[in-house]
Order: sequence, then C-alpha cells, then structure tokens
Amino acid sequence: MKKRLLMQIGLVLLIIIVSVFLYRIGKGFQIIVENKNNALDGITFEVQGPVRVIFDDKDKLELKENSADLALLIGYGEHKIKVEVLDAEGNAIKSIEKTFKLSGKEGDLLSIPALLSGSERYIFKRE
Amino acid sequence: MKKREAAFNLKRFLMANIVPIIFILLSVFAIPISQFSASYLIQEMLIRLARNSFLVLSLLIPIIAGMGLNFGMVLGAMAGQIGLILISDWKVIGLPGMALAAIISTPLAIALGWMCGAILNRAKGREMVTSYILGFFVNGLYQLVVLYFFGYLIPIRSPELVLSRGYGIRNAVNLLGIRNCLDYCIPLTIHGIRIPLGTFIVTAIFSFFIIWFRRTKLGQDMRAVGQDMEVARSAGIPVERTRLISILISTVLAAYGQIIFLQNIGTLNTYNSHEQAGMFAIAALLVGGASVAKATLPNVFVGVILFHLMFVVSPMAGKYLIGQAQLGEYFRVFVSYGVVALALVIYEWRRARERAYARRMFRGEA
Repeated sequence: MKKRLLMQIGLVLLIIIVSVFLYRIGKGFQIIVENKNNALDGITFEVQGPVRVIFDDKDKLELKENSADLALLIGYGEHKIKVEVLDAEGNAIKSIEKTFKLSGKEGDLLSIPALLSGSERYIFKRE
Repeated sequence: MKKREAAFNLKRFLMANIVPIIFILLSVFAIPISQFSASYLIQEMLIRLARNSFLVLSLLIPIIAGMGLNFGMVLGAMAGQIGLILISDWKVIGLPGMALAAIISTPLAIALGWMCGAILNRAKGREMVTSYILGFFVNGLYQLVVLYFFGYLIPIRSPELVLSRGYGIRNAVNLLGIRNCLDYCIPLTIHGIRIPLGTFIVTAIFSFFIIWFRRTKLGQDMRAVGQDMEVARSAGIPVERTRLISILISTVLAAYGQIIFLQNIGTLNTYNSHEQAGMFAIAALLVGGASVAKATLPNVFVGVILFHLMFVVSPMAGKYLIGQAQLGEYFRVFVSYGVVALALVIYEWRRARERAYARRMFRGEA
C-alpha cells in the first residue's frame, strides 16, 4: 500500500517535472528587433545599413534602415543571432554572430546597431 | 444447397454493411459531379484522416465493454480545449505546447471520465442517451468555467484571449503556435501531396495499443462484460469498475483526439468546437460499418474516409447538380444525423429480433 502510494506520488512529481521542462523548451517570446539609431547609456549607436537577421539558424528577418519587426523565439535557453549588413544588391558586407539569453518576459528589444557596434547591452527589456 | 447458402451469406453481408454500401454508392455518384481532381480529393482525405481518426478511435473501448457509442466523449474534448486555452495563454509553442496541453487535460479528462462512468453505471442499458444528456450538462459547466472563471479565478494574461470586459475567453482562439506541428513534424511530400506523417504515426501507435489492449486481462474482462454482465459478474469480474475504466480511457483519449483535431484546424472555436466532436466521430464510425455493439479498426478508417469524402464532395455536387452549394451542406448534416438514427434503429430492430428468437428457443418453438 505504502509502496503504491510512493509510486503514485513519484509519478505525479515526474509529470510536474516533464510539464515544467515542456514549458521551458516550448515557451515562445516575441521580441522587437530594431534597426534604428539607438541611444544607450549616453552612447548613440547608428544604423549601418539594411540587415538580414537570422535567429537560431532558421528564422530570417530582413530589415531596412530605420525599421523594426517582431521575431518569435522559442525556449528559455540560449539563442543564436547572426546579423548580416547588406549592400544595395543584397550581398552581405559584414557579418556578426552572437549568443544571448532573453529576460524571460515579454517585450525584449534587440538593437541591431548596438549589437553591430559591439555593445553588450544590445538586448534589454523595453521600458 | 451450396448456392442457397451463398445467396444467404450475400444477403447477410449486404444487411450487415448497408450503411457503408450506401455511402460508397453515393460517393461513386457524387465524385464525378463535384468535378474535383483526384489529387485534391486524396490530399483532403489524408488531412481529414489525420484530423479525425484519433477521435473516432477513442470510441472503440466503450463499445468493447458493451456501453455502446460514447456520446460522453465531448467531456474529453472539453478537457482538451481547456488545455489548449491555457497553453495559448502561456504561449507555449509547437510539439512541447501540444504535449503540455495533453498533460493539463489528462487530470480533467480523468475526473470527467470517472464522473461519466459512475453515472453510466447507474443507467445500465441506457448508456447512450445518458451520456448524450451528460454532454449537455458538462457543456454548461464548461461554459461557466470558460466564460466566467477564466480571467477571473484562473489568471489569463493574454489580452487577445480575454473578452473586453476583463474575464471570459473570446469566441475564437488562434492556435497558430501549434498549427500542424504534429501533422508535418516529419515533412513528406509525394507527387505534390503533403502527407501528415506525424499524426499518422501517432494514430498507428494508438491503433496498435488498441490491438494490444484487447488481449490484456482488462481488455478480455471488457469483452466479457460487453457480452453479458451477469455472466461476467459470476466469473468474478468487477463489472462496474471495468465499465468505469472503459469510459475513463475513452474520455482521456477523446481529450488527446480533440487536441490533435484542433492542431490540424489551427483555430479553437471556444464555445462550439467540442459540440459536434462526438456526433461527427460517431457518425464516421457508423458509416464505416460499425454498430452499437461491434466496432473494429477498419470500421474507423473506412468510416472516416467515406464520411469525409461525402463532406467534401456533397456541397460541390449540390452546386453543379442544382446550382446550390447550400443543398449539399444540408445534405451532409442530414446524413450525419441520419446515419446515427439509422444505426440505432437497426441495432434496436436486431436486438428485438434476437430477443424474440431467444423466447422462441426457450419455448421450444424454433
């Protein structure tokens, strides 16, 4: 009887753990990707041109100068971003790759000019 | 003698399969009139087979246990929908979202299935009508929860889900995050026809589960209970418990079936999606040649194909035949309710005939 109860409690715990795991790997976060001049901590990061942004090697976004778009990233873990600055013909003239973590809340803003300029604060929670 | 026996068997075969035969004849008549191409029809049938098979399969276990067609499967469908509403609010996407919706719906479906089973044990011999009315009752409870408790007692953060008054779920919930995530998780296209392989694999696993389940001790007990409750009780089988488990399993599987169904559709109609789930699944099973007392795996798949083939071709056939697509729409609603009524009438007629035969045997007249 006791063994059976322990097994049932164990099963419930296992289901809870699996649920939390599924939540963490499946949670979607919508972030704003901005290719606009941005002033952060008194420093202004300027737009370097139209860009192609690739998240986790699959989701692609093309942003013109002074434009923004939404991206949907899945999971709490680390995400990969690849930014290519494009010339007039659409060829990549500069490329940068980084990994980042989300704040875990909705409405993170990712500033492409800040990322291209090497700032570590290129992703932050929008006020 | 042999000739007479063959003729007799043919008659019996026709009588036993009258519903699928009518549907095959209707399809043969309606397909050329509808002017649909073969590739379109194949694609549609594959999608609908993936969408509906699991729901229809969930009906098999109560039939084995002699409880007839489980109209109470809508209870499971409601549990599945609550899981889907919650994952939509939490924005859990893709297969993890679907799996999480299934986990959330499981305890709800177990509770509802237990309640349904317990009530049906008190309404032996009238299970179908009882479960049908129970569906209406639980629908009321579901509406209370979804319309008043969500956003009020149960926190819902997404403004796109909540009604403008601040609580209650909107009429339509967009399931874009999980749309087709199972169907096309393994991409396969043959001659331009996309195969929903992921759902087919899940359905195949479930079909094998049913085959295995029938051979287990519990499955054999269910068959014994389905054949004769008193004999099963004399043999030491806990009849009430076995019946309750069969309804419980069916309700849980209906919850998963509804999740699979809605991931294929991509939109949850909060207050209506579950209402037709039971009726259409039951109609499809009956169209496949099943009866209230006997249903097999081929009945499920043949039924889904024939029933949904009629669904697809009848509006267009109606349009080309008499210039009104609406007639085809009426026809398919008439067909789905009509086939359930026909199956129930045939079942009752056979039962009355068997009883009369048994009485004659008892008197030594036969």
